[in-house]
Amino acid sequence: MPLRNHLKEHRARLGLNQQQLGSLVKASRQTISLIERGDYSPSVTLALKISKVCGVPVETIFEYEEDIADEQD
Amino acid sequence: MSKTKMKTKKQVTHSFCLIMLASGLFGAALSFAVIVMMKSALSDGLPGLYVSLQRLSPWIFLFLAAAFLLSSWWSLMRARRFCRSLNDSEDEAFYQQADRYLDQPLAISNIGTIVLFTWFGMVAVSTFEKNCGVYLFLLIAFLLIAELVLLVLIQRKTVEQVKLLNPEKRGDALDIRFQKEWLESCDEQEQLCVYRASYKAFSALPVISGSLFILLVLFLPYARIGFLPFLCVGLLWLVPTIIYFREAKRSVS
Repeated sequence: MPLRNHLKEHRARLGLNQQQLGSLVKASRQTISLIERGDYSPSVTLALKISKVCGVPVETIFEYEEDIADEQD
Repeated sequence: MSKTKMKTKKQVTHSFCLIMLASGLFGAALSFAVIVMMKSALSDGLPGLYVSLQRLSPWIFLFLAAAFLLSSWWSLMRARRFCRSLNDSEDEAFYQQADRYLDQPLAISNIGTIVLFTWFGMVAVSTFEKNCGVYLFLLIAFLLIAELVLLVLIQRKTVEQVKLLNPEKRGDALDIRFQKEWLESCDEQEQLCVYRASYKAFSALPVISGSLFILLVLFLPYARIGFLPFLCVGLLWLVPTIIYFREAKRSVS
């Protein structure tokens, strides 16, 4: 998946488990787990909900890997 | 996700022609072999086996019913024991294992339902061809209904356990609206899984239905199967196809 994320760190900062974060953004624990592992790219709606709950811009949590490669070049 | 290797139009056409030619040659050779085998088996082999199978069909039904009921019950109990040991664990591996355990009773009970219905057809055929008593047939019919009720109850208990792990899920397995409510309570990723799995199942239809048609044609000279099997296979292929195209059109309009 071409999307890297720092969701786990932000979730730990808020002191929430996967179930609790899922309840806040109306997603399942399994989906949160898949996002954190990089096995699922959330929709724009879900990504925005997550960033709102975490209180940071969405780009802080999710990074597009081609953008990272371009920056490194 | 794997990337499909792009082929030119010419390569695709060549591949298609080769596959059609190879399939035709293989099919012709297989049909010839089957016809030769059937001719030699027809004298007493296959008909004798079929009659023996009919006479044994009620006992095979009882065995299948017990096997599916016990295995789905056991897998449910194992899943529940495992879930009780979770104790609000944060370990992701535990939850993944719990999900795997909870999938099993549902899969076993669903497959069991289909197999038992199918084998009940054999018991019915056996009764009408006088290889099984009527009272035994009625008992088997009663047992089929009882088994279906028990399998549905196992599915309900499994769903309730899933809901304990995933409180956002809604629906009662005994409710007629269960599938709709359950799907609505799934999030985007879970719905995508359901759609992907459904599409895989739908994609298998042409292969399975085509193969069944060929088998039926091969059996036609040796068994008086009539038109009904062809009609059943055709309907089972046609109905999902029509539903697919209707839903695809609805989603873009």
